Amino acid sequence: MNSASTTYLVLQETRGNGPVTLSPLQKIMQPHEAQLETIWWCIWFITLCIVIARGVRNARR
Amino acid sequence: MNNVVLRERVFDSAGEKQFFGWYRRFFSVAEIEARPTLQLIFGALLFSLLISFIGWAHNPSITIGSYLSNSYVCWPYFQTCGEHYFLQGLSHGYSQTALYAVLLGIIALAAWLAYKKEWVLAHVLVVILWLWKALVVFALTRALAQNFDYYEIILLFVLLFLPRKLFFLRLTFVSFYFLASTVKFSAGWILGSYFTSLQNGLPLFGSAFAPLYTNFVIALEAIGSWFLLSEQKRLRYPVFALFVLFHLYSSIIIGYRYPVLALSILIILFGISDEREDFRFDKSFLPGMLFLALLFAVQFSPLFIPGDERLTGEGNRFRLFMFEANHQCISKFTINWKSGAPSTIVRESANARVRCDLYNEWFWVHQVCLRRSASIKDISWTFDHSIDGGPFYRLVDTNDACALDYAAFSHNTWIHLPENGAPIVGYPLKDLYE
Repeated sequence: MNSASTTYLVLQETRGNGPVTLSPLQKIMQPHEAQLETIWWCIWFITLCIVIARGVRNARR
Repeated sequence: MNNVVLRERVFDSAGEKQFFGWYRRFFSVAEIEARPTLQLIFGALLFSLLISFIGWAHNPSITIGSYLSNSYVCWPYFQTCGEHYFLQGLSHGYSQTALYAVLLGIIALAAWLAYKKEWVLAHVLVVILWLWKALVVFALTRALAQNFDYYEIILLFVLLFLPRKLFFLRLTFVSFYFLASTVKFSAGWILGSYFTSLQNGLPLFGSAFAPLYTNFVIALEAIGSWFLLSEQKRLRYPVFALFVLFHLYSSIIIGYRYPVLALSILIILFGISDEREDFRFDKSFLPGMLFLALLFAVQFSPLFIPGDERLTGEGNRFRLFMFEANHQCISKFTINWKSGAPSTIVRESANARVRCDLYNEWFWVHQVCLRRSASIKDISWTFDHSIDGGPFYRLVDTNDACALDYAAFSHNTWIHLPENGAPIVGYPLKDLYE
């Protein structure tokens, strides 16, 4: 995630901990994070539409 | 019936009978009288209130002492809340613990009345408890406003005040999951960096495949939650079991408080109850529908404030915010006195679940400015915040913190946004969940 010249801000409670790094899977996913976020929003919105449509249908039954 | 006799023995005048008759109709108490599921929910939420008040009875957040020592924090929309504090906590006085002794008595009496199936009187008592809880959480302090408190207040509102209680309790509870999924649409959960930036990683599963687990949770909340409403057991029970496991698993790091509330409501509404409520639309559904629409609108209110609310904190707490990000922050104040050497105060947090609310820092320094204006020349302030293992952004860098005001519902221009050039001042080490 960070270059060799990275400046770390060490807090009292993080003293001695390792730097934050990405796993191989995260490295694959990271460039597509924005698209994945958009996909989740689309799935969420589609789910909401389906729920509302089914609710309206059931209410009319 | 005994339950009628009890109420009418105590309140036996024509006026009292008329009032309780109206009360019973207005708040649809007959639904609680008729449905065992609602009675169980009543008991579970009463128990949850008891747990809340056990924690609050000795908490100094709304005491005169916290106001005097400037260790309190008001909501941005009611910044003078401390001026209304009237309780003294131990060891300064007994008024707070005396109040909670009364509330404990009310809880016990409500439980006894519920046991006696005297639901109207039990309802009246729980309304009193609800009013106190809502007043504390949404008016008197922000320090006690946790997401499980929102759950409790909202579910009690549905149970106490809305018609079609069972239907809307189920729909509201599922909506909690559905809405909570949206705060996870970010790197912290999509990449799993919330957990991989913890020194101890993701509990039990480790960090290598963290994104698989975190995206599964998003899917469970965003899609799976709706299957809890299915009348078909083969669809409902597997999802129910997954949510039970999810809550048990989450207790490894977040503790018992939220899982106890969520599990009890989940099990009562979707595990052991097969009571159904027909959904044929009539006007009795309107209050609940409007309430749900309001819930959705409030959840998305931070979208109308520029910037990432997880980083700036602006509007973040108006919604379900649980587990929105892993936080680290450093807040540094230098107080230049009119006479004498400057004082430096550094407040920092590496506890992932402490939200690093920039507003809390502003509220504290604002109070210092107001109270010590005669002796303070100015206060310089920097605030650096990192989320989900990302860079520390310097969101605030000012030489005169006393000149800053905080707007509750819009962006405060003195908070610098990364997209507008807030500088990166460093990177975090792995932090802790405490």
